[in-house]
Amino acid sequence: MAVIWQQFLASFQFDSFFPLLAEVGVILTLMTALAAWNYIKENKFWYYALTLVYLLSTLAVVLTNDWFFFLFAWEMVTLSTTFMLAWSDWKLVRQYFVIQFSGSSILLFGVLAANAFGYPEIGVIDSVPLQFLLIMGIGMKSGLFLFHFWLPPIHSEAPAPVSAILSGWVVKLGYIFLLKIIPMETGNTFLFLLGLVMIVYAGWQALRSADLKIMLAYSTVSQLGFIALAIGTGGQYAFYGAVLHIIAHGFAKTTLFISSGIWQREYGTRIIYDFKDTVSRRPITSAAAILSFASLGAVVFTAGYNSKYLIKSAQTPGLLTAAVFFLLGLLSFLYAGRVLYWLFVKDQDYSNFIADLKQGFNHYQIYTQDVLALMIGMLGIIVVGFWPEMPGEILSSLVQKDFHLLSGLRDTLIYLGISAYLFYNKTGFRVEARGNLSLENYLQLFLNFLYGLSRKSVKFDTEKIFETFFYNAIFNASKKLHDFVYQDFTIQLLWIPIFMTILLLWQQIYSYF
Amino acid sequence: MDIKILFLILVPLGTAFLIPFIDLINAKLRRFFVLLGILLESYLIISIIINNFQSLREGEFFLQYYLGGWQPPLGITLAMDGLSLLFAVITALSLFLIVIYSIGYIGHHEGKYYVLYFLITAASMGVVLTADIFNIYVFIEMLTITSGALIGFKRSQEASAAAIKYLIYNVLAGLLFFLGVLLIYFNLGTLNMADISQNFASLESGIQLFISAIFLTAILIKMGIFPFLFWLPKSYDTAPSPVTAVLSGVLSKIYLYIFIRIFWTVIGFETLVALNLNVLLLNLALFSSFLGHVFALQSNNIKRLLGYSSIGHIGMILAVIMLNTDAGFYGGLLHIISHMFMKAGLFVACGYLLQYTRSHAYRDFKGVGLRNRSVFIAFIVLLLSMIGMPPLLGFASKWYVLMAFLEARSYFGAFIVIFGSLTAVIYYLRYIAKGFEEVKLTEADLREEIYSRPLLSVLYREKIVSFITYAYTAIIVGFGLAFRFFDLPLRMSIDSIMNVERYIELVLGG
Repeated sequence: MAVIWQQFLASFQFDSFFPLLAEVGVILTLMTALAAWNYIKENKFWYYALTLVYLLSTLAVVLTNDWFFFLFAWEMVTLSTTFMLAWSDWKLVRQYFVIQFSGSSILLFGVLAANAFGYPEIGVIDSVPLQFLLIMGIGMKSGLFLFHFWLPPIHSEAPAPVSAILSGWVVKLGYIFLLKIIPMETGNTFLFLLGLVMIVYAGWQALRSADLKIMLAYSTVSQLGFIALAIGTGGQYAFYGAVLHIIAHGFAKTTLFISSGIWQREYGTRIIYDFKDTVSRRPITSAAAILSFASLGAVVFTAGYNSKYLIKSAQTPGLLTAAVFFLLGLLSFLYAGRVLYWLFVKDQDYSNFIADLKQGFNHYQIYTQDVLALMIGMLGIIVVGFWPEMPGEILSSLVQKDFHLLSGLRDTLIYLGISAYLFYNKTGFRVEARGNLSLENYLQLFLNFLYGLSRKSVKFDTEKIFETFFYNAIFNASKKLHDFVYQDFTIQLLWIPIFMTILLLWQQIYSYF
Repeated sequence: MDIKILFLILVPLGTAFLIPFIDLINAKLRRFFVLLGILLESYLIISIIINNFQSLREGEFFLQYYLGGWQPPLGITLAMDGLSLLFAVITALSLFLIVIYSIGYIGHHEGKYYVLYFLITAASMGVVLTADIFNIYVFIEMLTITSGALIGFKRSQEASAAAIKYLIYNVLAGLLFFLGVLLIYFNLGTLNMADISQNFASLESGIQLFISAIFLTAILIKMGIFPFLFWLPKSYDTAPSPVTAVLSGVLSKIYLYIFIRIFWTVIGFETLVALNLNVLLLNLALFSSFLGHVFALQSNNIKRLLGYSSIGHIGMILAVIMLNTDAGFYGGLLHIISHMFMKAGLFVACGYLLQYTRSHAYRDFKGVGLRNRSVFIAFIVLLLSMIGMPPLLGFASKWYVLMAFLEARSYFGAFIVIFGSLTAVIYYLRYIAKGFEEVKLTEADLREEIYSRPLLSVLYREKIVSFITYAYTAIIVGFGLAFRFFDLPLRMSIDSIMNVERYIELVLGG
């Protein structure tokens, strides 16, 4: 036992970014613990016991150097957060457990392979297939594209402080692991492309969701895409950008989930159109939310601006890069700004005195602990915004880095103009709230699709030998592909400019691979 | 200077202009006049071959004619090398067979039909023969307008919709082509293809890229490669059968000829390689082929199905040409020939088989084979050739295509060739089985038959129509046994594709 304990202690490494990241993890856990003080009413002792286990094991995940302790600590993180979900629903516990452990099995396989191919400690891995295997392994835990399907349902149904923990720090552990294994000089093209897809897809989904917590969950996936893209790019500033983005997004998302919990108590709903008159009724919460959304949308003088600027500056310079990053930033700004638009809209019915009076009362008395948690979050965003080099030696070269605040300000103003125009004309992208978003529905849809392939969807005259199960499956599969490709005529014509653009930019696209 | 190649264009053009005047004299005289025109055309081609047989053997065949006597860099030149001769011969043969078929098939508005048909003939001959890039543009526009009018020839709602869609796509493509021609003229100050080819490498790489991109987009739209395949099945479905045979058999091959001419002779394949576009195009064409075969699986309309399969085959031909090897060109050109006769033959047979059915739909295909047994057997032989059964021409060409892909180690291409054959078995066998199904007429069927729609068309001269179907089948079977016959013309055309310097020297040096 003592030998294991000694090995465990010896495996810690206190160099590079990881002590800094561990400190931030402790601060974020403190924030959620404060917010949970009034949110969690029953079995408070067990909740805090789980939080303590979570805190210790997350420190081990970030700092350890040994494959076994790394896996063990991560399983402890998973277990403790799994049981935290029980304060919302035992169904969630079951689902989260199954999903996380199926992800762990891929990771375990990857780790065994890495161990077998001569990497006895966690460190830079040069072989691309191994990198691919490990990326797939963390994919389920960290919500990489196509493995992110569980993230919105679970993060939105969890209790608010637990959502804050999950979204703010637990999903980041995979990227911290990638910071250790991906070589800084080369990066990983696959991860880069995956990040790009995540940013666009999840950003789009965030823009068309009406539920605040679902929107926050999708925006988590989108921001994780930035981190994946940064790590995939490779290079010193890209890695610094990834570290800063992990920190910035951790503060912002934790604050946002805590404030979403407060609003949920206040209004009794999570739909963003119902948050009326928020700024005067919940001023501190609103201020924290505005600052966090500004950080998500990369407004200057916030933490998010610094990290996104670093990621952008690490790319190959060129018109294409500038345009793509401008559009990606616009997407983040749009979904962040959309919530703020709805916070400031006061379309209340003041005709009825009683209704007015009822609206006037606060339903939720805010506590000191909540205020303290929000304050810490705001402080974190502002401090990282003005002091990106932070304590320690590792990021100290950022003191000389020029962050081009003026061009950032210009971009922010352009974003503001575009989004104001869009919100005004599209009435803030008002969409219907989604129906029951749960993993059972996803499973049912998947099974229906599988069965539907073998079913007859087009009526034939007779039963012949070619029209049995086998032919129906071929026929319906090709019909689906056909219907997918054959859109209406304007979209068909749109292929002409798209195709020409691809041809003209082909040299740049080719050079990326 | 050989004036016969000028007459190759002038004879169909003159026929087209004279048909309305013949109509004024006697409408029955018209079809003899049409036959006269096409026979004259055939005579010209045969005499060209016989007169130059010696130089053909030695691989030195080259004819040209200066319009108005202007020497090359200034005036318009008509030039005929090995590739042009091959395309001229097969195009003329196809058009000859289809015009005889049309005499039997088209029962109404014959005058207009033949005028448009002969304009197509003249334009396709012009495209093949000309050595001037602006002239190619003119003939392409001529092809687009006339074939657009022929697609809408039935005047039903679907036909008009398909024709309008076709015209929108192809006029846009023509516009892009024109822009490319303009750019070339402004940058190089010449329109002669040999002259452009000599100086194209001196352009900046940005302008080279832009011109190549414009030409690529235009020609891919015309050919119906993946992002632009949407107009194709619809227009093939609604046009009358002989027109579809022309569209699929002749026009798509003419556009392939233009592709080869522009990207090997004018712009040069090295430019594409330098811009890395050849990899993109190869994979795009193969993907398009894949999509064509997959879409054919789900089609419930025989003519549309043949259209999708055309997409598949044209994508495959383009891909095998993009390999830029001798074997690739050998297979590609052989498949151009075989696909030209197979597809035209299939559409021609469809025109005969579908004469009594209510629509082209799968359910109406029932019992077709029992009613017209001998034509249906010819149809099946053509289908087997499309699949690639050994003694037929389709097998020989697919074999060479497959060998070319394997030689270039393009395994995706080899996969697509085999995948195309396998899916073709699935989708054709379904129709063959349906064709041999007994029809049991019920009361409801009869009522629907009487009240819903009149018969599409009743053939004017049935004998001629079935005869042409047999002729196509005979070509496929005969050349399938003797595909070595094509060895000399294919070697000759590959030589003229690969040897650009010789072309430039001959055109410019006179």
